[in-house]
Amino acid sequence: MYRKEKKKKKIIIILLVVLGCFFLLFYSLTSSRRQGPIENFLKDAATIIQKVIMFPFTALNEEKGEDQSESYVIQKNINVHLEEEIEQLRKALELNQTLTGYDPVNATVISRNKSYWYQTLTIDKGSKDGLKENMVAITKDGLIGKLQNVTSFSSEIKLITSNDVNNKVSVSIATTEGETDAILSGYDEEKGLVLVSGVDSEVQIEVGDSVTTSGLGGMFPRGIYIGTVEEISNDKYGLSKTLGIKTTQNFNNIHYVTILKEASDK
Amino acid sequence: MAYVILIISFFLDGILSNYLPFMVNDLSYFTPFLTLVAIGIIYPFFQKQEKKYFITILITGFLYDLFYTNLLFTNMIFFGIMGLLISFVYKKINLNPLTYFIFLFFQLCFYFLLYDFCLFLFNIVPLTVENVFYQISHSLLLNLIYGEILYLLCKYLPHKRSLN
Repeated sequence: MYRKEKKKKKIIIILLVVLGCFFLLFYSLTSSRRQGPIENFLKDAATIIQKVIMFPFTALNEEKGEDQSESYVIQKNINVHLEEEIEQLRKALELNQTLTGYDPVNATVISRNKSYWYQTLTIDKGSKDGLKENMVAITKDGLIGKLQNVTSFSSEIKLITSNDVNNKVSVSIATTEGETDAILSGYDEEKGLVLVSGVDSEVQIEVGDSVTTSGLGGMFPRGIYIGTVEEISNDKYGLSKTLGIKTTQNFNNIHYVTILKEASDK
Repeated sequence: MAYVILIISFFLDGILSNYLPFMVNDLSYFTPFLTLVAIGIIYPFFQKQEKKYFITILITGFLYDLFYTNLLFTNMIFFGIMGLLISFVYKKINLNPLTYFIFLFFQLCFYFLLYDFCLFLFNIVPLTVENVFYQISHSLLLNLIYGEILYLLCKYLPHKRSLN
């Protein structure tokens, strides 16, 4: 009788543990999960240890990072839209949404998310350096993603190659007839192309047209280079086009990034 | 010794993965999961101290999430499940270099299948069977070699406690 009770108790405990694990997994696997203060503190401690461990390796890469200076990054990323035009617009409309209205913060990538499906990088700069969530991350080759989960000493970059439904960017395609807006909506893993959807089928788009951020929505500044059109396909109803964008960025080889911090965020 | 293996594998895992491709469908054949290999290797060091073994691997899993995945508790749970599997196998099978190689193969496959099944179950990322097999196939080479080297190293260590 006693043994039977004990066995029953054991089964209940096992079931509770399994159920607990199930809920814990669901909670932790959700990418939109907010980090608590304890997790932030532990993450900061981990970042400091990682920085120490990675120091000899990042020091070796320092030369590669030299060309990522403030002026170089800005110049490279506004090559599609003329600087004077941006200045004029900025003055006329009192806009603060151009690259010149941003302070670049250079950071080193200290780790990549080993759960490959999430497509995130961890950098060694955080809220102590004035970084906030949703700030834009670029390299000399253009846009790479936006910040999420910012702690005091580290931040996570969600790459544009992530197929997360919340990871959408408003983009502008420079065609021969002018500019047209669309949405960067995902990544084709097999072809290695960033996908842009919602392009009006009437608009004439050619292979080689440049794609930059449009600045619509206010999250990303206007004029950050993303890539060029490599592939054009119509949807099954012929109402809109989906574009495959070839980026010059090698997402497997990102060691230094620049975060665009709004000048007023100093 | 067990802790030395675990710490070296843990940090080596992070260093190597920083310099290897990490885009889905563009992974290297040398994708490292050395910590996962290490938790299997260290089991014999904790003979008659199973509780200590499980605490060690649960802490390792927690740190792994903190350092490398930002998915709090996920690998802690998975490492715990892997610990149960490892403990079962060590008790039931007489391991030699060949059987350990086969066991490690199944250990790695089981981990990825479990992980990807959870991602599929909770509808976190769009996963295909090809993606899963691609990830498994690209994770075997380095980890099997590393596991076998560690196994042979540990086998000839004077303080190694064998269950068999």
